[in-house]
Amino acid sequence: MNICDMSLTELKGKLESGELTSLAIVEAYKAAYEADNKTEKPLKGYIEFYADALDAARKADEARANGDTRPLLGLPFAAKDNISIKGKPCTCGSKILAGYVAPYNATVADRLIAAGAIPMGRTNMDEFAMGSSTEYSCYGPSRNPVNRDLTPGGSSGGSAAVVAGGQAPFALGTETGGSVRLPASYCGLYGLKTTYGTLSRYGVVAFGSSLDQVGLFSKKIDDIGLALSVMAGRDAHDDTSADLDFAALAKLTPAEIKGLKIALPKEFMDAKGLDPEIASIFEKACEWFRSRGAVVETVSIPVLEAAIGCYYVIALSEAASNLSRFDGIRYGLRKDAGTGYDDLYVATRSDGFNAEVKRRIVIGNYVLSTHFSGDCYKKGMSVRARIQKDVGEVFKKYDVLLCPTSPTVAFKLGSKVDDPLAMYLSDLYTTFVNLARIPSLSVPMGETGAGLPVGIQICGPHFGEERILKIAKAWEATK
Amino acid sequence: MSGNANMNAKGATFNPGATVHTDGVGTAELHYEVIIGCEIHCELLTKTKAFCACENRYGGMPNTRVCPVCLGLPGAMPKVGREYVEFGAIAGFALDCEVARFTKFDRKHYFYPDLVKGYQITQYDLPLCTNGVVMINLARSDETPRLKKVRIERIHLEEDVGKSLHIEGAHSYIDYNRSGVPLIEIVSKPDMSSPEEASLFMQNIREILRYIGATDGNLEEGSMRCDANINLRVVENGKEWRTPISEIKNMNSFKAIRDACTYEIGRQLKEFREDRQVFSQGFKVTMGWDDARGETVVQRTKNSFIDYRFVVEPDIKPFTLSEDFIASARAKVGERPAEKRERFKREYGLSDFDVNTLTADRDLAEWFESAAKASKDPKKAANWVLAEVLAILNDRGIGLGDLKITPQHIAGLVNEVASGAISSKQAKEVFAEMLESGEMPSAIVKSRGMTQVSDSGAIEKIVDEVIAANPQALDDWRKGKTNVSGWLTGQVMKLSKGQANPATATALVQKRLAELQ
Repeated sequence: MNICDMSLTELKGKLESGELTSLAIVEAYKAAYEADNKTEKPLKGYIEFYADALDAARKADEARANGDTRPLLGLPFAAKDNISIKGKPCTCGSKILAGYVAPYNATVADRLIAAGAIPMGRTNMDEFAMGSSTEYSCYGPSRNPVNRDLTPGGSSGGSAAVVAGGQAPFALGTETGGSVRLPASYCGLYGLKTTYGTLSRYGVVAFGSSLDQVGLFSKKIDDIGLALSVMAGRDAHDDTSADLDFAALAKLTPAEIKGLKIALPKEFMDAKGLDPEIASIFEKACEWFRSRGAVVETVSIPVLEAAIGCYYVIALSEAASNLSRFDGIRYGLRKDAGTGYDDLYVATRSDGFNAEVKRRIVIGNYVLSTHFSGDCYKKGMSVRARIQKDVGEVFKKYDVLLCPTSPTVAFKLGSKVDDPLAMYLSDLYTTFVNLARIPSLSVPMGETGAGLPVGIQICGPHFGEERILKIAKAWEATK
Repeated sequence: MSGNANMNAKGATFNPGATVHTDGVGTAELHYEVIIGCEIHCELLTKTKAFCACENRYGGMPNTRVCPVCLGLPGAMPKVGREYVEFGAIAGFALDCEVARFTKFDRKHYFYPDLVKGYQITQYDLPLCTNGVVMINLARSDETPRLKKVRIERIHLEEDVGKSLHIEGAHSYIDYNRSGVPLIEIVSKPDMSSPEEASLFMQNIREILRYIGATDGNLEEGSMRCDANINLRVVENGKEWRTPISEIKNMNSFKAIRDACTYEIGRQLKEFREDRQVFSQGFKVTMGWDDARGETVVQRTKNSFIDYRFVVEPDIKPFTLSEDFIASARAKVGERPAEKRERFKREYGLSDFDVNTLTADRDLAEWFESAAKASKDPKKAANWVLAEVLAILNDRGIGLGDLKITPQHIAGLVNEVASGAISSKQAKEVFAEMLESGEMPSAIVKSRGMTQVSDSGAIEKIVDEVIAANPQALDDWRKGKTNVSGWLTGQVMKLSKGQANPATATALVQKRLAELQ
């Protein structure tokens, strides 16, 4: 088996048995990346493949020779361009951060590195994670490894592309409203959005702080468990991080499906625009669970109809606030006409942000201004509280909630880029998860007739990551 | 021109307690009342900055006490310091506020180069403290206090910003050492009705907060800054108006507050007379005080309305303060200056003036009190501190900590005199010596053989010697000269090298003279 086709856990086994060296692994990915770059339609999942990754691999091999047994020693990972890695540029796919080099590690990266993992490169994304296709990146779009004319999804499309395309064994993305699960679904990968608080947000450039979570992409479910086991838990730098011990996730066992209680939200099944092929794959998935003794029932959560509107009110308000710091004064792009700082801000931000980001900043500021929009933000907050409550009620009766990840399969690059509303609806099934702060795993559960991957998401209660990963493990075992 | 409260200006009534002024300029009869509310920003003396572990200290090499958090770097997140909230609560209790059990932070947005995140972390609708009170004293320090209540609407926590340095014709520089320094903002009700009262309010707040150790109150370093919101309630020919509110920003001296408010009253009055400018809800003029030119300068006009777009700070969870935390903060307030003054008067029988001097500084008050408590005569201890110790501190320009003597030295000295071991005159010598050597008074008295002679037999002998040696004096006395007894006592003291107990000597001289009548 080719190195580039292996899962993280497989590579770990081969490193530990001495069958492979870290250097051989990183070289293989580097070669795959470079070869792909020369093709007519390169993936462009990486914005930068780190030149020092090979050195780090050599050091990891030496350490192993000297008895180092850290769990991720010598295993490379890719990270989205909005996750700070000390000494590396961190630009969020935006011109406005041109030249900015992070002087510190994000906690998630720090914990992976402390466990021996090697940052191999930073991956493409829609500018400031705003988009569903990577087409809003200042570096241009990434391609879907399954079909290179299609988007890998977004905003963490680069991370999905490098894992699905055999250029990294696993990758970190980030989610605000589906930015990990959507590309996972489009590229045929596992994509986990953790419970709000499971992973530290420190060092991850904020979009919608009350919604943001780091997410993980992998080809095999064990990989996510392994990475999560070293990354999760309380971080003194993030007040919203939770005190958890996920060490047990390093070795996943399959869940017992018999007797599992599964809820299907009626509102999503009835939604217009759900691709019939996805509906049928979803039905097969439900059948898979039923046939193994699970209780699968349709539930009604009417407030979900309001999820996407509520999501945009809150996400854009927080985004407008979070993106205020990019003003050209301390780092990144500066456009200075020498006529005072008001002009400097306007010129820098007009030029540094793309149209989509500016659209969202304007909407967010409009929402936050009581002068213009009255109590729109407050209303958004109360709808959110209702979503949290009603979704919480579902988990009192059911173990998990099951629904498609996206109403459609990966779409053609260029087909929605000028239609922001159509793009926003890609998030139809995903945003309620972020609003409710629950974990959700997109599982590659099938393919359409045209061979395009379809993800089905398993959503769990707060901090129910173990439960949903084990269910996926049971599903994977029968594949 | 000032008049009395409740003055009736053709049907319109002023608030009770308000000072009503009559403007002599112009033709129409015009009365007005000054309305001032203050917002005081005060840096707290926590060890670290508000939301990161950087050291909280003034000055230093620019941009050396910074980290990703207080520089607002992409991805950085605030972490609330426990001490920060505690100091806020202590300040709240010190100003008689209610302290919230449940509170949260919010973001306030505006753009300025010294503001690293494009927003300031502050508290919007759930401030830590509400409904406080301070009493300002309108009387002079040697008069009986005349107290006025100024209500405090709220105290909230927020963070300071960096400092800009503009070099004419060159560049602007920014020092972010101050970025993220913990602040409280104290917002008063518009209860002050003169520039003096506004200035007294700030002095009072400063005294209390320094006393409880919440701030160093260093005005030159900008540890405390005051914004004053000021307008006038004008009654003219029975009709009433309010002038537009001016907010004078960032004043850092009591004089600046007085001068700026005084100037602004004149300016608003003039504007009212000339342009009939009146108050409208939600808009105000933001001004700066130009100390050199002695006038207020418009920074923002009422037309450029600022929308701060407040949003809940999503990086900090709303939090509940435990009853233990609250109780501990309340206990840490300790005695406030006004309470201490009352107690000193009551317990030690000191005058207003003495008490004011002794309590002006918390360290001095505590120093005095340890001396007083260890001494048999607290009032004497107060005299030593007020007359001698303070004189030394002033003369030498030093602090209490620089002295070789401690409150125990003063107590010892007072007790030596009180027990009759040494005389007051000897005590001065002992004081001078202990000041230099740091030796305890008892040791000095012993080593210098200064023990006072109170034994009547010994003193009687000296009295007899003196009278025998001065027959002329005895004659004078017999002839009715009145000051002879005092002179003879002086001779007794001299002969005893000052060691005779003066009271005993006086009594014995008078007794012997009576016998010789």
